Amino acid sequence: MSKYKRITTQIKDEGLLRKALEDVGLPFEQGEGLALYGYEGKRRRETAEVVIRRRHIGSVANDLGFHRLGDGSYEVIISEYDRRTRGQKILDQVRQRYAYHGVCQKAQAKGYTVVEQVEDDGVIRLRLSAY
Amino acid sequence: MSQPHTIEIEITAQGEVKATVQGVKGAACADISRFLDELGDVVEDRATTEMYEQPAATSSYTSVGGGQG
Repeated sequence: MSKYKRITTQIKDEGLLRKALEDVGLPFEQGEGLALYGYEGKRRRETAEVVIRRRHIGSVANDLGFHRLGDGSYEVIISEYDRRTRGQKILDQVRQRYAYHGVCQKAQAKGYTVVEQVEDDGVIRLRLSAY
Repeated sequence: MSQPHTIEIEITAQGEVKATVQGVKGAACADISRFLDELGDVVEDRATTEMYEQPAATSSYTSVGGGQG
C-alpha cells in the first residue's frame, strides 16, 4: 500500500445526482425554485431545484430538497425530524450512489478499468486498474 | 499513467469514499488519486510506507547491514 485518502462526498453535479436518485428509486421533481412543504402541508421558507416529496419518504416526513448554490454545489434541505428517521437513510443512499457514479465516471475518463465487487455489508468496493 | 497500479475504493453506506493506491512508489503516488478530490472534501490524506521508497527505475544500490567491521 502506498497512499490512503478519505473524502466526504459533496453533491455538485446535477447529472450524477439524477443518476443517484434513479438508483435509489424514489420519484423526484426537478425545476427552478420548487416549493418545499412540511409534514402538515405547510409551505416552507426554502426552495430547491431537486425535490423528493414527503409522501415518498414517510407519513410525517417533510419534503427533502437539494438546493443549488451559487457555486453549483447542492445544499441538502432536510428537517431535524427526518435526519433522525428515514430521510437521513435516503440521503445516505443518495450520497453513496452519487459517489459510486462519480468515481466510475472520473476513473473511466482517466482510462482505468473499473471492477465492482459486490458485498452485502452495505459498502461498495471498486477496483480501478491501470496497466 | 506511467506505472501499472490499482486504486482500491470503498464507498461507505454514508457515501464516504476511501481510496488506497497500490503499486506506485515515490512521489508519483501523491498525484495518482488526485482526480478523486473533486468528489468532495478530502478529510484524510496520508502516505503509507511504500510511498517513501524510491521508484525501481531510479533507485541506486543501498547497502543493508555490513559496516566498517
